[in-house]
Amino acid sequence: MAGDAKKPFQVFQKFPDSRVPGHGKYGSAIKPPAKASSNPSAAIKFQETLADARSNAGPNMGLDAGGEPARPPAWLSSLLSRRLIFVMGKGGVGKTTLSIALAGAARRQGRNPLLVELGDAESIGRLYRKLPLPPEPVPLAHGICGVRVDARAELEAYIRTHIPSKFIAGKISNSRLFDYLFEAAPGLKEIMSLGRLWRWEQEIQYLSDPPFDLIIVDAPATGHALSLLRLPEALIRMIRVGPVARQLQGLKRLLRDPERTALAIVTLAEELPVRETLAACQEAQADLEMPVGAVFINAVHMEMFSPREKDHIQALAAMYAGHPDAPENDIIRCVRRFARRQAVQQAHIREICNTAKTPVLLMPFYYTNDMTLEHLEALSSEMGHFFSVIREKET
Amino acid sequence: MNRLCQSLKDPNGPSVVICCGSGGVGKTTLSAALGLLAAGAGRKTLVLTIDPARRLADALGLGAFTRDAQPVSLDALSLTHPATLHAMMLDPKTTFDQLVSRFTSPELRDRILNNRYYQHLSANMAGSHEYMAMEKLCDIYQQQHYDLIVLDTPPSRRALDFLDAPEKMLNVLGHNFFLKMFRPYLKAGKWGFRFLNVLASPVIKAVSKVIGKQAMDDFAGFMQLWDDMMFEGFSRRATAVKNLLAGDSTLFLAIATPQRLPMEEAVFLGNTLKRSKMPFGGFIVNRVHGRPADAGDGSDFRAEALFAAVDLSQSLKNKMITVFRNMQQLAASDREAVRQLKKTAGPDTPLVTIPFSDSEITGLEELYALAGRIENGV
Repeated sequence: MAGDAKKPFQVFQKFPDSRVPGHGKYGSAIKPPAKASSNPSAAIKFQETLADARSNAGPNMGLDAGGEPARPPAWLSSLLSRRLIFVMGKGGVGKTTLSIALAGAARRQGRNPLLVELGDAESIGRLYRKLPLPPEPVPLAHGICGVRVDARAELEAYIRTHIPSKFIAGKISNSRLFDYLFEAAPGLKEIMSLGRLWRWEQEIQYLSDPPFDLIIVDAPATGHALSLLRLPEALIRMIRVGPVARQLQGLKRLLRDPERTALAIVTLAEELPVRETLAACQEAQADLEMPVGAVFINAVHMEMFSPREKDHIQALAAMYAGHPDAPENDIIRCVRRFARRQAVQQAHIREICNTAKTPVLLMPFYYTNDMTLEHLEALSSEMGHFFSVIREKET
Repeated sequence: MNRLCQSLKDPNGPSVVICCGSGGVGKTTLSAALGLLAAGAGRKTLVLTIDPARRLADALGLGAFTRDAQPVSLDALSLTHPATLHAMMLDPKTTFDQLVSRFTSPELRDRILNNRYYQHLSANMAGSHEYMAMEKLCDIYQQQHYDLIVLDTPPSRRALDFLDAPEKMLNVLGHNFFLKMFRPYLKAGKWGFRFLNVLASPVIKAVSKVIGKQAMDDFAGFMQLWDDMMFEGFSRRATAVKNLLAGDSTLFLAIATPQRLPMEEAVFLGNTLKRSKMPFGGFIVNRVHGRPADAGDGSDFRAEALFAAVDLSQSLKNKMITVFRNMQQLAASDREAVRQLKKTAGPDTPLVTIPFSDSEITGLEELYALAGRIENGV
């Protein structure tokens, strides 16, 4: 199309387009543009991170590279090398989807992931038909474990550990004051949940044969997740002495340690989620000093047509305009509508790439309203093929 | 025009409309469009919104730092009747502070506002955002400046969180439970402050050992101020909020998109509202994909017969047909989701579907066009 020359980048689809079971794959090749970054103002470019794909990225980059990558791309091994990953994002963008896909990818790398749900969340439990998830890790499927953190049980356990007298500990747990505090004290539930995560992380570190070695947290929506992550610092200001203060320091160290912890932020290529994502990246990196492992853009309509093919489609539209009853018109209209939607998405993708100081990955759109475990399995097997967008400056 | 929009435009229609639904379904944009619809019909309307997209905020004349109701200039729309629309952005923290100011003397107010525990509470308490949205709504409602207030509910994990918010806040801050618990253990300190006598109760002693005495004192100080000054007013207020929500002048709308989780959430919301005798106004299903073809569903397409008149590579043909089939599949999937919802909702519950649009809302004109789509949605 006419605007193509101005586009600073192209997204190339590298995996089968149709992800609905029973729907045929199509296996033709898409040619890369002659010069992807011929535009001097292009601040970013799309890069394949798969080493093997790069080596054979001849003029005919195969679409049928659907198998396991020999080596995971750098962003993925780096992300999965941590022990604690918080998956966060705006409501409805696909946090649970990404959490489960990451767990699948981790398992493929020989890791033993633990999927964690907080509070009264139930998306993971619902997908695996284990509702609600129990407060102790249980196997879900394919070597993935799952658990739901029960803040109240954590608090009771905490009191039992820290108050030596059983009598008083019991008295506290059963008192109305306890009920009251549990509801009233802001952040108490949250800090108990974080404490649980911290202890699991410590188990990974110190147990010789831990049942899991990667904790993936399906975190609450961005605003709530950020206040959760801000909590240790806020509480350190309020509580300065005593055992709690010491534990808060340990927790804060864990959250800020790029060797052990990463945030994975998921978003859609739409205005609001993008704005929230960029603000969250900024806050995580600048204020929380937490490492953002990657930004995932979910439900991306991948580019399917080369510039030349787009010219063809343009010409076809003109040709068939004279035959309004031809069924071909329906297809042409649909293809052009698809292109428009893609253009809208690309503008948002570009903004993220230009602003976020992290790897940016594109997750494909699935043409269904009901993401099943089958879809998620497919998604995780393609994780190594997700397109990584790297800022030119840093490469 | 569908029933739902009819009642919004009716001068005797609801005076409060609350848009709820899970995150990402377009609540904020739809709230604004519904407000515009009612305003266009001559109702003096306020859209009370949480976190609009930048361009939507611009369209509504909401700058980053405006916290008061702003008139929205409707000149660009060339409406036939005079119309008044206001928009306002909610700030939970400020609302909380205002609530404190309303019930206390200036001197005590400062003491509460400066209390570390209060600062933490007002910023972090679960449900406080939801509650403060209700509080603001109640406040504006009582001033009776508007014929209709459209409230966009804050993002929360569960669409229903905000319904429980008044109850939760009452449980926490509406009981003078604290003083009943602690009065025996309070001792007078300097300047009339009272402090917790940590030695008086083993429970208090144990708790303060764990969280530190200073944190306990902040907590006690806040609860005492709250009990002395705020309890009465706050409880009255929370009760008024509860009554407004359940009253005849309010209408709840459940907003969803065709994906499974938002749909389930909307159904759950509708059922809960009906069960608790709250005024439920119906469902809006946003972003429903229509059939990609205007004529027929194209199921009789034979790929090899297409584009016979032109010399086109088979791979391009296949790709174009794949795009078409994908879109068809999406449309079928959306249709099915709506059909299921219709079945669940029954014929008496209004249900409006809004077709997916490729363009984003960038100005008032698009918003008005969206209002038209809502009105014509079936």
